[in-house]
Amino acid sequence: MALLAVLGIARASYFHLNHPGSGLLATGEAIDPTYAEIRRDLPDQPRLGYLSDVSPSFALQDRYWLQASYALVPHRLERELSMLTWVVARLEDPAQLAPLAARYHLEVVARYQEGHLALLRRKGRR
Amino acid sequence: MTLLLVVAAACLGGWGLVELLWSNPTTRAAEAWLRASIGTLSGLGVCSAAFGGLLLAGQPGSSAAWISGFLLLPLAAASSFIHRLRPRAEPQAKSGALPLGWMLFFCSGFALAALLIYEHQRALPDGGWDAWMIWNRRARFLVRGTLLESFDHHGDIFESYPLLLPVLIALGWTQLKTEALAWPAALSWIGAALCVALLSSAVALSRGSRRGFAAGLVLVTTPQFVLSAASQEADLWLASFVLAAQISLFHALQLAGAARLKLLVLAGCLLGLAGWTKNEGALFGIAVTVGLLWRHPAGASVKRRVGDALALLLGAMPLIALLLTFEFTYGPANRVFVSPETLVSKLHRLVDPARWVQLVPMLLRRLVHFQAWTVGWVAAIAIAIFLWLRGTPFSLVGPAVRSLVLVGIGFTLVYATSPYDLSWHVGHSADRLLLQCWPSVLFLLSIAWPIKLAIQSST
Repeated sequence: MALLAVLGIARASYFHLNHPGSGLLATGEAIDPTYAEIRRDLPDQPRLGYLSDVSPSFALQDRYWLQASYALVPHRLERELSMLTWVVARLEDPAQLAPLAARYHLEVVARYQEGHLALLRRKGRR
Repeated sequence: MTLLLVVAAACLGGWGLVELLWSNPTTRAAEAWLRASIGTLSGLGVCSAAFGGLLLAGQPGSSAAWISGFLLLPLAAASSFIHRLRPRAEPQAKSGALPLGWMLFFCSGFALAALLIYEHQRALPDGGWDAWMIWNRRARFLVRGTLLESFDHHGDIFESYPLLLPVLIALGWTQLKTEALAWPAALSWIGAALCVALLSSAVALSRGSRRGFAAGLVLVTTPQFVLSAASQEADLWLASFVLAAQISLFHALQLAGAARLKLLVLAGCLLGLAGWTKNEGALFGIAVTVGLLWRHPAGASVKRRVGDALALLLGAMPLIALLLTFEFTYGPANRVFVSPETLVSKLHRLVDPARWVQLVPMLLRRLVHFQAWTVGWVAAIAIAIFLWLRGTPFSLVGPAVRSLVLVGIGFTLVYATSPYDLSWHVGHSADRLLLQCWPSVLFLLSIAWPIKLAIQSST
């Protein structure tokens, strides 16, 4: 019994101290505060476009996409932008916003989180 | 307050259901704990299924929460009434006090696990990846939008998951009128505690309190247990439903007549709830049914085996109906089974030797590691082989053992035909699947071990 307890407790402690984490969320980081402001400004549209300067090939490793998808429920984010008027941008480098907006014919409506997050609209549409 | 009322009503109703189906009166503390644990688990499960069913039927969330919480409450009243009519059973004398040292070991292991879960949850306020990306996200859709909106229909790997956990979370948020992150965290504590309580009390009931606490200690000090509870995953809920079903099955096979069939109905209901928790739950249900029907030289007659399996199916029937409604109305197809590729591609992968050469070492490696260090599954398999070679009669635990073997084969076949990258698929899911079986394995080993000792003493 003692052996079981010691072995088990040692394993649990060892694993806990060495667990590398998923890399999708920093320790202590809460998702919702980042998106609280933009959520209030989102148009009443069920589908929104999603744009980012970071796009890992594997969607399940794309932390910005995953976090935004979670925080902005019930809006559904889509990577295919061509048919959508409103787009949410989540950026590692805020300086990339202007070139990305120009490439997809979008105009910036509002910026949040020091430019790391933005709401954009397709040019010429209301 | 209203949330507490709904949860209390659901748990009480679950207790009533268990008391009605478990015919004999309680005579031991461990049995009372066991029934209370199964009752709480099944009460919350039925509450979730009812809430999900009402949402599927178009009922608004607020009224659905009240109806589902109080659905089983008449059973508690009926159970209480029936118990008053029955003659009171004499409480059994205690088999000996538990040594203080054993209690201390269990409590220290339990306290450490609780501390690690708390510390992990503090570091991840939204829960682990599963919590925020699957369960809590789905619950948010249920609360902020509609049931239909909670399915992307984009071929996401998680879209076909059933709704036990999201519905329980949404029910809590509906009653609280706020999306407090503390509620899914509290549910993860409840799920983990129920799993430990079920295992410890079930082993204590059949093999004494020392063994019960030892089994509980092994479970709480399993690193994956701590991680799963802290990350608010659904795997411990599934493990609890499967374990509760295996316990009910074990006790049912010791009985005859109506008492046996009633416990099998309870086991079926619990397996149905396992199916409502995760897709793997359906595999457990099928495996237990096949395990019961499986012919064994020392086993029951064909008539009895078929009767047992039918009782099991009867218990699962409402949940099967709910699951089928969910799958055929809202649930998108699971890409593991229904992908754009043809059946021929799957068969090609199944008979591809190179894939098996890659898969088998991967699975063996997960069995050995199971998150940290070489204990646990390797020891469990070694003990099981030892008991089998020494001729331990497995008649009572036989169907349960056979069902776990079948589940293992099923998981392996899913990996073999999976359309996903094999190392990613195995790496991200094998430990969860092993955890789902782990409490049942601990229960069966704890039960099987003294049977061998008893035979030795009688020869």
